[in-house]
Amino acid sequence: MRTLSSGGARSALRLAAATTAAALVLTACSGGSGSEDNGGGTLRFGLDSDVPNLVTPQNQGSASMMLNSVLHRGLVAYDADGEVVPALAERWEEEGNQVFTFHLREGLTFHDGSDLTSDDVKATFEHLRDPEAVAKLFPVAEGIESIETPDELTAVVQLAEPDAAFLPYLADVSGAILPSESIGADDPTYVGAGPFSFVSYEQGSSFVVERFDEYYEPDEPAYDTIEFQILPDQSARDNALLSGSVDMISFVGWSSYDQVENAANLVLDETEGPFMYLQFNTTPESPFSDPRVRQAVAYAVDRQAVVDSALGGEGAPLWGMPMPESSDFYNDDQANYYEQDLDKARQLLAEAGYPDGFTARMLSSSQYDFHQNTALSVQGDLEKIGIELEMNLPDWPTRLQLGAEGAYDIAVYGTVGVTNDPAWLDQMLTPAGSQNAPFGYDDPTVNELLDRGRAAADEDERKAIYDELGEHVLEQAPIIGLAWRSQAYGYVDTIEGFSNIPGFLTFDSGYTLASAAPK
Amino acid sequence: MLSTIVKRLAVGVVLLWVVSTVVFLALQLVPGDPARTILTGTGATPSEAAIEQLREQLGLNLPMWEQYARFMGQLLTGSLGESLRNGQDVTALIGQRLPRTLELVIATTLVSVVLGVALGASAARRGGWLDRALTLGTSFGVAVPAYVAAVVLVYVFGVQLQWLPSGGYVAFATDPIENLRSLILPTIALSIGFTAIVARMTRTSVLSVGEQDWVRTGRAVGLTQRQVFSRHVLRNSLTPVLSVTGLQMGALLGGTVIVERVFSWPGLSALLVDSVSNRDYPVVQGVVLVIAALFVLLNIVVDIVYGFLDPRGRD
Amino acid sequence: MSRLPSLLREFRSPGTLAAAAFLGLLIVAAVLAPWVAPYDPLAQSSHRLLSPGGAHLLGTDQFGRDVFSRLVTGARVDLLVSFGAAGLAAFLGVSIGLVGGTSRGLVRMLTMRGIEVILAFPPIVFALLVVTLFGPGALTLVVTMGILFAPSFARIVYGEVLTISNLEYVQASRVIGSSRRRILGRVILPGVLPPVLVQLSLTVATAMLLSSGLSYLGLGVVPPTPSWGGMIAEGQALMMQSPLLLLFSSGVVVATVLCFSVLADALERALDPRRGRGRRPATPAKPLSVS
Repeated sequence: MRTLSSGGARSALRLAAATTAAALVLTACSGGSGSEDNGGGTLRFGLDSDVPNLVTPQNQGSASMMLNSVLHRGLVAYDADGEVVPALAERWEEEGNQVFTFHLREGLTFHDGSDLTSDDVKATFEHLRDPEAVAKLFPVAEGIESIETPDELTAVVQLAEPDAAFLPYLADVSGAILPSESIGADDPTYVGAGPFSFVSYEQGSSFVVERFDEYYEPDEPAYDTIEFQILPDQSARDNALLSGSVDMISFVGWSSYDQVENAANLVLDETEGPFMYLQFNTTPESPFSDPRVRQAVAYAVDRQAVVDSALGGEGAPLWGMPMPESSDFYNDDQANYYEQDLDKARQLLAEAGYPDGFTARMLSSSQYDFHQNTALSVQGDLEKIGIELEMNLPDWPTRLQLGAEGAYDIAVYGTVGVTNDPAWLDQMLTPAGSQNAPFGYDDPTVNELLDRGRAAADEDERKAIYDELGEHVLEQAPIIGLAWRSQAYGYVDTIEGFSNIPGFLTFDSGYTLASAAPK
Repeated sequence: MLSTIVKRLAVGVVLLWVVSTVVFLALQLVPGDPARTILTGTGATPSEAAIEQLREQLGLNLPMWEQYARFMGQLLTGSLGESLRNGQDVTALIGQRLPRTLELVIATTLVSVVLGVALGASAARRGGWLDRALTLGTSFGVAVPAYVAAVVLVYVFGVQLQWLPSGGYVAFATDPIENLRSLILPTIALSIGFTAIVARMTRTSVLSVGEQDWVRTGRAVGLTQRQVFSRHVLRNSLTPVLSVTGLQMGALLGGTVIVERVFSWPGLSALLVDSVSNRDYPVVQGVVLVIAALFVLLNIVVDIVYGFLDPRGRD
Repeated sequence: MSRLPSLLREFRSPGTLAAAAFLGLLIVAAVLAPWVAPYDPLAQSSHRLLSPGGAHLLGTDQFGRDVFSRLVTGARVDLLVSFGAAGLAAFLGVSIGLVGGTSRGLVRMLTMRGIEVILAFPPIVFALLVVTLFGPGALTLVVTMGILFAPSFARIVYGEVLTISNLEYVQASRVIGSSRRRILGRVILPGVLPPVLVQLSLTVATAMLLSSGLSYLGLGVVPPTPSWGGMIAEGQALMMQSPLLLLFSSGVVVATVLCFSVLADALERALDPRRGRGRRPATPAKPLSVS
């Protein structure tokens, strides 16, 4: 029946299934508990922001990643250590990082009861590589040349060029396989094949999901229900955990770390994820067009002071390349390249023709404390070498606009890599990175090394290429790393099996909610 | 009377037109691009082409007069348009958020009026230490910013004592008890200043009414102190209290911003702040218009009721 | 000034005296801030979050800046903003009220209806829009609040002008040919002065509440310049580690606003007994609590 069914018939089927489900929910509401009770109970989760219209393939921030990770699954996913593991695909073969053959598990279904087949995989990938879809994975998906579906359970993806970053990117939650007819529709993408299915959403208030009995791991998930309470205010969220009105929260406030750690029944699960850095305007009009001036800044800023004053002392100074320690490409020398040396900074400035310093425009935003305070800390340090910063601290949208227009000499920004693989550095060091990249910076050496790094198949070869890139970037200093931001989940100690995935993957940690269970 | 109301309403409509035009123009001048803000979030990396494409799709590249014409055209058909961020109907969005803010406003008003009138009236009647304590207390109450009160309440009752939820919102329909529990702290935070103002007004008003000739006459003809007070003085003192209550309610409509934020209360003010910082123009316009309309309406109602209660106000 | 004795009498009460003394001290400290503050309020150091005492009277904040120096310098900024805004509001409001009260027809309608447009915006909503438009900063704050608070002055003046113009001796002087200007200067202005003064002192307190609220929201004074509202926000973020930061900053705001409203009450009783004891109880034309 499956092979014969047309799209129309299938959507009719799904519609019927959805209606039945809705009816079930209604009866459940009127008649008490309707869904099968496994005794797993409810997990009450304090979520850091609202997601009014979930569009899984797009980058909608960390809260949407959390919802995607419980509602959806892709072909591959991350495990608790950040390794790429099978998800909807039980195995795959690859040839030279260019041809990937995925084998789906048998009997997969979506929450609405319809079957998940290679057609859905194809439709999803077609969408990801469509520039109009503005997919988060577009930087790798645009390299897809063709997707073939020899049978219902097999999908063969052919890339135009070898790409070592393809699988790590694909494991991101935004690479989830969606029911083909829901793709590009106006409705939020709530139907997936993840461990939990959608129950209800009340804007600004709550998002509820329940156990999906047909999930491919028969023993998972343990919880019957997850009730996300939307608590955008930092202290309200921390307090909700501390006072026991929720069991788990994302983004524990730095100032609450000690309290959560010291509370008898709470766990603080922390990693260094996103990072803060300085971007320079590298166009000729800016004093920072000279690499020596940028290096002077790199020697002048006290990174520990940034951590202490802007990040509440949590997090870690970043003296070199922004590569998480958990990445296979971490290089200890490059991670600690610079040190604070004011004499050297002054000498570099003098060499560049600014013995008495100069005045420059600093761009940051008052909307986020840590952006503003990072800028203030940098301002204090640069004053010591004669660089006076005029502060511009507008709200976030204005800051983004001014950043894109290059209306700054030096700017504070924060970001997180898509994966722990250095391939994502193109989003920081080339014009393709727009907002993330330093204004006007387009360096042929960097571009070439990035291309080679992705094309190379051998891991050692890749490592050598990225080391070369790191050396070049640290010398040129178009961006200067400042500090790793600590990212923590806090939860009651009766929860087992949840894990904060280290490094940039911290926002994918919702994957582990599938295996989380109450003790 | 009726013609006065109609006239006031007509003036109100013109007023709202001016307000919405001013807001429209202001938003056109505000720096920051909705499309860029939507796609970037807090650190994503959209391409410039994607941003331009979204601008086109959202109609942000149209000339200003055309956008204005669209906006006014929608208003005339009773629609406030759709959110740029998620395509939701702005009217529906406001319909969802407004009751939550009204819940705060009404609870605060009830508490403040009951408490304020009781305190003010007894202070005026008893005098002495109670009066002095009240005067000091109201000065103090007026001087405490609601956000400071909110922060302290959360710290004491939410975190240290853990008696009440320190933030969040549960719909009344979902769980009435939890809804009321989460209402308590924000209501107290907002009520401190409001109660002080009502108490102060009641006290002044009761004192001034008490001095009037007919009160003395009442006593002279043998009514008891208590009868005079409860039947006549208090009732006649309430007119200015009513007007100050109306003004305060109006101020609360847009003034719950900080308290909604501290308590993660997803009301109308929180929606306004969010949509300003997302540059979600239609939502900003819609919310401002609704708040302004309520404000205008409230003023009219207060004036009408005032006119009924106070014969001197009729002309 | 015939009202001087009653003014002095009001100021003899201990509460009013204490309030006046506190404000006097605060104003002197604010004016002399560069000399009173023991440290540069912007100078960062590695001595973060020190407790009060020792080299730092009230301790240090998360940048290692001296809290006392920041409070004193913040007083300078906050007082300047509050007085500036109240002054501007009084100037705008009195002018509009006089024009509206002494003219007729279209001019009167335009001025008084224009005021209703401002009144239709709840204060914080208005401030939010203006600040987003022009960017945060002390000047934006002064102008925003100046416009916001002007209507209350305009309404008071308008009402007074209408009342005064109908008094017999004003009509008489008009009949005997006094110029409009002369009537305005000799009769009307002195008449509206007392209620305007009372409103002015109330507005300073309200402006201080609103501006600290806006700075708390990040819409006011731009850091690193210290402001009380900004310091409250910083203190709230560090509430768990050093609750004293929050206590000091919110303490000075509450104390200052309290003193201003005590003074406003005294001034009202002294200058305008009619409003103070009242046939017409003092209805603040704009409510005091804003957030």
